[in-house]
Amino acid sequence: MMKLAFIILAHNDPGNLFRLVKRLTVDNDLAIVHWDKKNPFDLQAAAKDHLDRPALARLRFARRVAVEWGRWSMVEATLAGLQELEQSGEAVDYVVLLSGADYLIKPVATLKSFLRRNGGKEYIECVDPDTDPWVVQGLVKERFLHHHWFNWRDNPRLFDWSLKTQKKLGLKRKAPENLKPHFGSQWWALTWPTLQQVLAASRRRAIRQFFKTTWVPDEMFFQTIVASIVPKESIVSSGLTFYHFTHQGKPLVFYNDHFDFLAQQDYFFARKLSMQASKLRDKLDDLIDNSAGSNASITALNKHLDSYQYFISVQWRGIPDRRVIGRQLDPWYGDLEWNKKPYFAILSYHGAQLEPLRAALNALPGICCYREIFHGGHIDYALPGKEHPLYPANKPALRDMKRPNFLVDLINTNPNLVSGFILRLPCGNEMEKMVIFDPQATVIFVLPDDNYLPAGSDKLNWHSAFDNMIMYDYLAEVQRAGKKITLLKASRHVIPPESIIEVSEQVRFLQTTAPR
Amino acid sequence: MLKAYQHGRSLAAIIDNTGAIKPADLLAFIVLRNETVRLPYFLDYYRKLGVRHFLFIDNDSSDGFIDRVGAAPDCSVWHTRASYKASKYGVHWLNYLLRKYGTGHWCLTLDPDEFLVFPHSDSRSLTELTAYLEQEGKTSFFSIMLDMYGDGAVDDAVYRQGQDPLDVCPWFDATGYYQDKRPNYGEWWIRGGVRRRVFFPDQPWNAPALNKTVLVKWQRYYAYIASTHIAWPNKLNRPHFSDTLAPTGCLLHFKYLSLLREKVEEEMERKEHYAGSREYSRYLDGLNNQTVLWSPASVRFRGWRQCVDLGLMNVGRWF
Repeated sequence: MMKLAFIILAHNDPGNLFRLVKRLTVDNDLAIVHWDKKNPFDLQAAAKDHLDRPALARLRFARRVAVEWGRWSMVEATLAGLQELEQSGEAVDYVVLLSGADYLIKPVATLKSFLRRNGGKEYIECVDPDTDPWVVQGLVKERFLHHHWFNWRDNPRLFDWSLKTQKKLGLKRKAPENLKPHFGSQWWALTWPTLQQVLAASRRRAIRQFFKTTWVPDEMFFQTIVASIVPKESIVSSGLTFYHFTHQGKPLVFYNDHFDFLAQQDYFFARKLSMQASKLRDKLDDLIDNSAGSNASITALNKHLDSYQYFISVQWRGIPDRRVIGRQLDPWYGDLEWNKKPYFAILSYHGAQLEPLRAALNALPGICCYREIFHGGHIDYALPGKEHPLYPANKPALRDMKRPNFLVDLINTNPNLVSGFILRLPCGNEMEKMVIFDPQATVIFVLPDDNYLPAGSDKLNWHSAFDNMIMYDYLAEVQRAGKKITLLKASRHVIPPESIIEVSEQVRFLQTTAPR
Repeated sequence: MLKAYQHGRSLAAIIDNTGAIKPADLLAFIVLRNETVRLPYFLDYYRKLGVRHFLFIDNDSSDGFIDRVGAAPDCSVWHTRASYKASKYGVHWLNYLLRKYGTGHWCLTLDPDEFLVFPHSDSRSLTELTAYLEQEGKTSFFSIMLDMYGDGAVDDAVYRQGQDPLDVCPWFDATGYYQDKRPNYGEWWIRGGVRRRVFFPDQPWNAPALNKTVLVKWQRYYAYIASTHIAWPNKLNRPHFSDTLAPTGCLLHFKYLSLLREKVEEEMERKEHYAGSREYSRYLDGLNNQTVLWSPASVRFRGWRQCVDLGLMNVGRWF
């Protein structure tokens, strides 16, 4: 029967720590807790109230060290746990290093069968900095090439100064005993015989002195020593704990809603769980209890990060087509920036009779063509029953506060309708500037049929174009920009029937391709 | 800052349990006047989210507020008869208390009718949110205020003590919000919603601001400038990181209950509110005309995910 020991480094939250201990010791395995000396809470006394007799019998407390992040004391705390185990005289096969904020995601029995099947492998991330860039950003080799007497968290300036000075002076050092420094995550699972050798090494003065002034030795000490005493092929370069770092380099924290994400990971423990995620712990307990009997097993350690990576890639700039509160490209453009619903706009000179065209469009299914909604002292919807309830026709000030927002609200009222409206130029409210270059807008130009635009030529006849200068200005601009528009000619202010059919076809096409 | 000190002197501690505040506790600061009926649910709601201590500034309530709060070990009360208006609508009082008790803590500054909803607020607590923000290097949390209303006249939305206000006022405007960045304090000025639509349809630009920075990890030198709409220094008003998005929240605001009438009538007498109580005179007109705030475009509140879908809340990269 395989026997395990768990060393748990904890500095707060005794409640969840006891909960973890209870879970870890169900199968007669050992738990050794290192309780940070900085926390004055009497953990041993509290354990007596929180744990039952069998669990207490399998729980031991390591000599307490005041742990400082990034410094040797972190390794010292772990070594204290190992020494405690050595003194207890218990025979164990593996030791697993955990933190108080970790939790199990698989039954201990599954872990044991996994370890047994793989026959005495060492589970520790071991990366050679010469061949493999382990830390994406920040210091790697500097961590051991130079002395570090200051903690970067407390004295970032002194830390940097000391590093810079040593670099300038060309002070470099070598690891003792021809050790080749290796890096890796702090959390590991190692065999007891290997750890006994590590303990022996840790008692040698040269090694201790060297690692005491390295930076973040907990990601280096065990990795380096293990790599030096164990053949490469028996090291599985990964711990048994699932963890992930955010882009800021901080461990990802798991909350009550992360059960599914954790349950799919092919690991045995997860780091790190929020202190308040008791429902998540409950669910994981259930999962473990319900899968204990089954033969569910893990063949390889695998991270399943698809959902996380998808989430991050989407959230980096916000959900596509969705307004972001507290960010916008252009105050004038307003919500049009986020709009992905197509619409159409009929830009016309003042004289044209557009009602027949509008009637024809409104007769189409799924199309509604408002009248001149951006003009004048009331909102001229001219489509009874299709007014926007938040913008009453007699309250144009609501529309005028930010017209693009009104437009976005209006065209999105009914997801199954494609809407359009009429804009007579010049209109003075600058909506045309937005509409013409909005990629979602299908623009229909209505011009008087005259010889301003000679057939077969792109050049305007400027002398006669003066009357509808603004229209032609925009037309020229649009054509220069290469945007596709529909150009209608009204003869004597009447749009010919074949043009109406052409526009109807086009708008109907818009309707069928609109995203739902 | 000096003003905060001057006005702070008009505050008299009535119940002082601040000794019980622990270093990492999340605190809530509340100015109120005659709003005791809202308190039981309010306290419940925020206790569940992880608020550890409530610091009340009681502007001379006469509805048994002290008796209601009295025994709670996580509440402290300061009393003042001084003018709400003279203290810049409570801002000086708040700045005084925030500086004295809030320094080094995450602080929520609220009215008793405001309920914060944030990404995952159904499964995660406010302390988990603040821990995340702090870890990512952000010291404030931006939110927009959503005015909630019932489907009848305001007078018909009767609220009973202890009730979830969402039972009475589940509706809100899903669209019709306007955001602009203003240069003075770099704040995002957001207006819109039912206030603009119903109470300011002819001068929508005068509609009250809806941007709120109610959650801040307070430092000695911080201050609120205009209610919780604008804070100082400017970086607190930034909703996002420079390169990427941060989570933002929605502050559900339950003003339009039958309680409004009493309040408005009193305020019209006292003239103690912003801009000559312009807002309140419009409320009174609205109440007298039995105005219905509900419209066919109103949306029933269904939780934070809905706010994200409507583009009123961002999840940021909070996985």
